Amino acid sequence: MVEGLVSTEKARGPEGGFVGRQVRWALRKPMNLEKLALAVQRVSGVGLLVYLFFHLFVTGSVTSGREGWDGVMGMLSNPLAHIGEVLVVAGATFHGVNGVRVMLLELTALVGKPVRPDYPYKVQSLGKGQQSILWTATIMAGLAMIAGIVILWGL
Amino acid sequence: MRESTLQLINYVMILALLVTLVLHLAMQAFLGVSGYEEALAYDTAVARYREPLSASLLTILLVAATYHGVWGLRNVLLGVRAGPAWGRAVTGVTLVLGIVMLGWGVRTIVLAFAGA
Amino acid sequence: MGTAIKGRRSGTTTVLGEVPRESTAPGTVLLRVYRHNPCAVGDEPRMTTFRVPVAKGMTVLDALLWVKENVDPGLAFRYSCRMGICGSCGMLVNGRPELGCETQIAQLGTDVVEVAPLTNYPVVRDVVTDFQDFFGHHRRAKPYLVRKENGEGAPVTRELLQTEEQKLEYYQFTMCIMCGLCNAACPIVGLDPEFLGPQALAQAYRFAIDSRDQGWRERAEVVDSPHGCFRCELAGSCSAVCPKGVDPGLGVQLLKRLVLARRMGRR
Repeated sequence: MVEGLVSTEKARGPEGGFVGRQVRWALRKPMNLEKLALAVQRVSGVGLLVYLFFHLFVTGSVTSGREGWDGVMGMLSNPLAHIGEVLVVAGATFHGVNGVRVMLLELTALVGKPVRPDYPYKVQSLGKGQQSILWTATIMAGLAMIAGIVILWGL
Repeated sequence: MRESTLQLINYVMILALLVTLVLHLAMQAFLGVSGYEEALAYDTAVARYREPLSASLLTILLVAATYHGVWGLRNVLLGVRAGPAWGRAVTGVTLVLGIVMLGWGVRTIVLAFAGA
Repeated sequence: MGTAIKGRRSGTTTVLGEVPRESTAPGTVLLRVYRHNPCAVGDEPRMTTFRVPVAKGMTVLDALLWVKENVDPGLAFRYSCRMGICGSCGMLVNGRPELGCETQIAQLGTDVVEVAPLTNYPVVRDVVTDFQDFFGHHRRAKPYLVRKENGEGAPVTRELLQTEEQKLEYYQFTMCIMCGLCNAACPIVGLDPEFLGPQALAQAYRFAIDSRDQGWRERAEVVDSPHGCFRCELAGSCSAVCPKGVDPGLGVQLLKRLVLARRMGRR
């Protein structure tokens, strides 16, 4: 085998559009845990806002009297709505606990403090303390999902 | 308004949201409700709004959740496009959305509390 | 080299095409390099594969230099010091922002090494990217000591003393070599071109916390803005890729605290 030029092929361009840009960064390296947490935080945040929007209109039916309320509740008593509720509970749990982690990093000494950077460098802001909170958020979201399934489907 | 002021308000709203949301979910116990089905019954829902403490809690929860949610949406949308015009448009649209959500939620609480 | 065209930003690194059928011979590595000249009419982005002989301790930069010297003199990439201090050779190596001179082929553990221009920067040619926006953001953070006592721009006429503790508050952030890897890794920089970025914000903190500096008000006006420090959402990728242990993510969070303290009248 000769050293030198081997081949040339067309490079695929970036996936275009709004969705592509919003998604691409999450799939790039470095794949550190905190970046993945940010991706889930954003998705869960937007999802929860959409849920809140509809929740306000659903609960607003209480002003339509018993019939109006029962009608809306009847409409929402289906497996698809229950799946949505489980996702909301899990998403809210993760979003809340991870959000607390973010607040602690922004406002307290959890983020670390500047030190003399001697090799091998220790990245203070990506320390084990804040990662443990992130894992706690994930585990609690999982438990909330299980609790939601148990309550909604009576398992 | 300065970004830091908006962020400080956001921190306050986050704390209020965490507390009131936990209380909102735990409220069922205060009302002597047992089970998911009973929690969604009309009488339970009305009782929630007629109780002054409960209605106040729901109002605070509404304000906190709406501000925090709209703030987050604004953050996401600011990254969609560059330019001060887009920034102003995003701030305006999210503000309107927040006002609509707040308005509708407060309407529900006030009407239900008053027994309409 | 012509003027950079602020066109399509490099985002090709996650999908770089098929690995060529030819396998590597012992003592060689396949080096796949992104090639594109936006100034040339009809030039399409492509991946060119070279078989490069590997020596012990060879870096990605060494491999690129071998290709330039022995196969393709038209291959364009930046480098200078070759020892991780100038920050010129920032590039994507196997999809991750790295300094070419500090990344040894052997440590990558692969037979195929993919090199591409840094993400979030416009491509000038091949692996060379345009740093104008990056330097512009850096300048906006006023990366110099501001002293008011002698008027703007006048030389300081006395020694400005500082304790070791005061120095340690900012010393870590002085290690920045402006390689741009942090901005390449930052998801917010990719989404929001007006975001100052972790490098500029960390430098804003470096000078803000320096006890000798008197320009906090001017810097606060810059960083306390819709595209300032509060757009940072703690992805942590900047700190994960920094080759000098600067931890720009830490700098940004500390800067947020300074700004909030100022808003509450404590600074």
